[in-house]
Amino acid sequence: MSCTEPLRLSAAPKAGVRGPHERRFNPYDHNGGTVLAVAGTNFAIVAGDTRMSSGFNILSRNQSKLLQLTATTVLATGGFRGDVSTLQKLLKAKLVEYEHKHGEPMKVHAIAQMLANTLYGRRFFPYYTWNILSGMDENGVGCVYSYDPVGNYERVRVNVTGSGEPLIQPLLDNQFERQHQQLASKPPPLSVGQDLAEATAIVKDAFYSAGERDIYTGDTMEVCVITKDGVKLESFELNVD
Amino acid sequence: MASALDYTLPVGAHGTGAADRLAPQLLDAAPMLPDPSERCPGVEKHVRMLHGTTTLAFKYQGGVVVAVDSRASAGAYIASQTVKKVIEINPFLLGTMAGGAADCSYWERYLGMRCRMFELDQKKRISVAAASKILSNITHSYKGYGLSMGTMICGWDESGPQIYYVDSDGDRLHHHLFSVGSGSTFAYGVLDTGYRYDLTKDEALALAQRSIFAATYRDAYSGGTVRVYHIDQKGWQRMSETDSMELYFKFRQEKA
Amino acid sequence: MDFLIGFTGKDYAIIAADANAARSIMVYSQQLDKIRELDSHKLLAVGGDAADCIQEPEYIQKNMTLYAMRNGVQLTTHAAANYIRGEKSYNLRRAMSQVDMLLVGYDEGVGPSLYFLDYLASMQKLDYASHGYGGFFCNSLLDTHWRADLTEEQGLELLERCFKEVQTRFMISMPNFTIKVVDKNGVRTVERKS
Repeated sequence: MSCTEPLRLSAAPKAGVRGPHERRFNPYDHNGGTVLAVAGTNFAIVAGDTRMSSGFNILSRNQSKLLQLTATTVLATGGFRGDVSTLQKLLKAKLVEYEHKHGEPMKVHAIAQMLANTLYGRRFFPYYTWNILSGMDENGVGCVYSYDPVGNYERVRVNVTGSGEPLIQPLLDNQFERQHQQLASKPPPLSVGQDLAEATAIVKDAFYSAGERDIYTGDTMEVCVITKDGVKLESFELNVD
Repeated sequence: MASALDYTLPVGAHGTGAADRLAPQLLDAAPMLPDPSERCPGVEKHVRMLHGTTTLAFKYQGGVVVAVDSRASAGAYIASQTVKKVIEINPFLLGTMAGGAADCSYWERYLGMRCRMFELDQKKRISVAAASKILSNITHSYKGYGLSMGTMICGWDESGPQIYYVDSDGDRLHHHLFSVGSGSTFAYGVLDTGYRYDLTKDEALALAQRSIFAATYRDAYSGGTVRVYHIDQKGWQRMSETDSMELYFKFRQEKA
Repeated sequence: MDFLIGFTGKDYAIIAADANAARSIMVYSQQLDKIRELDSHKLLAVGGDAADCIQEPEYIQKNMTLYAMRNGVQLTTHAAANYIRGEKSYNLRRAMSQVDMLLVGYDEGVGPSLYFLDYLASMQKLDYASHGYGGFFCNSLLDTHWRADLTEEQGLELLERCFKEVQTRFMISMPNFTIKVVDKNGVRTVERKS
């Protein structure tokens, strides 16, 4: 209280000289885009657009957000491209290591838990990524796992994340989850009721609509169809403006 | 395009760090320590938070009842209506989730591992007191790092039914009745009024469900499905999962 | 919001604490025991940050037990107070620990004693002391009515007057209190007459 002489470190600047400065930069950007996945009774659909933006600039029109991890699993990731790339690289390495160690590829539920642990490992400096993991479970049913950036995850029938999420999620709730359709039959416990053709049509409609109204979604949509036989990739044009 | 390198003003011009409160003449001498919770400002907006949540647990003559809602919100947006806020640690232990979803699910999964290690080591089940102490020691050691969790560790051990409240401040309380989350005040209202130790099992389950429903009705951040669990000497059991709208119609009809 | 109070009397020392466990606007429990029994003849009442109020006294208690096991002798109350003060000083700088404490004990040849320790690690040997807002209402009562030769019955009566004042004038509801006494026979809990 009555200390008149402030404590001075020998290296501290003298009076009149500017005090200590903190240099800071924002380690994150948000590169926009939308990814979506649907679990069917014997298939899974994963889709994403290929636009990459920063602020109001479009940086790329053909940057895929989908990554095939094993023969029947695909990871779709939105958010900050730098962290997406780092995360994808890390996961690929972990999967290779696992296969060398165990002599078989990692099953999707194990990948799901590993991804959660990987994300939580950066709890105090998170990967700025939104992930959806999709594949075939051990009973041949399509599966979708949705994540938050620090690794909370949940198995769901259908999920969308990224800049188009608020536009698309209500459509999915209505068409796939049958929410508030009192007379419609409820979907099966772990997947949607639609067959592949019906589900694909809804997914494409969702992306076309989001492309019209979301500035960060557009250019091309990639659609991966996962079945027990593997992954098939198709592309469709979205609007480019 | 904004520069990625964003030079900010000297210390004291931003944030609410401890440096701001130092007298100006002491500033040049003050040691600068990084605040771990400020390493990536703003990220908490994007992490799936369960700040909107209602969870409760209470002991009664027949054991423990645990009930939760299922909503996760990111600001005003409902991020999920299907969150599982009861974490099944092992067949005799349940944990509830409130706060950061990932914090709760990660650490309670880790707790499950520690409990299993205890079983293998000591050849007996861990007490609820010891399990909750493991968790509170963890949260206490991470105090100030920005973890967010309010959890009830519920179970049945050698000394009977037990409930411990553990949170991210490192606090740990033993009691017979708890409610946690933004809707907890509403749940307490119904729960405290209807609670007696000698409730029958059906009455206890109904009271828990009614209390969570009351919170989903009043608290915009709570909603979705009301899940109810029961714990007795044989371990926990899932009792019901009911959509809150279904409950609304049911209770409205009962009132009429 | 915790309220701790204690004083020494004729051949005994007594401390009391409210029994509320509260966070923000809610009371989670009204049966919390905030008075820890450090050893056979020492009591430590704690208030402040709820989590630190568990971790810090527990660490102190375990280390005092370890000391007693290693050396075959317990710390005196005076030594314990100085040991605790040192730990508090360290914890304050390491982790901004915020725990206020009252320590009472009974030592052979010394008699009862009370030490006041606050979260800033100051320590003072006193005849009577309190922590928390309750002190605003009770310190004057202690100034007026405390005497060194209070019998236990008189001491308990004085405590009850303090509780009554707190329950009358203090905004925060404190329906329950824990009372513990230490004398030459050791520590014990005193049940309140209702």
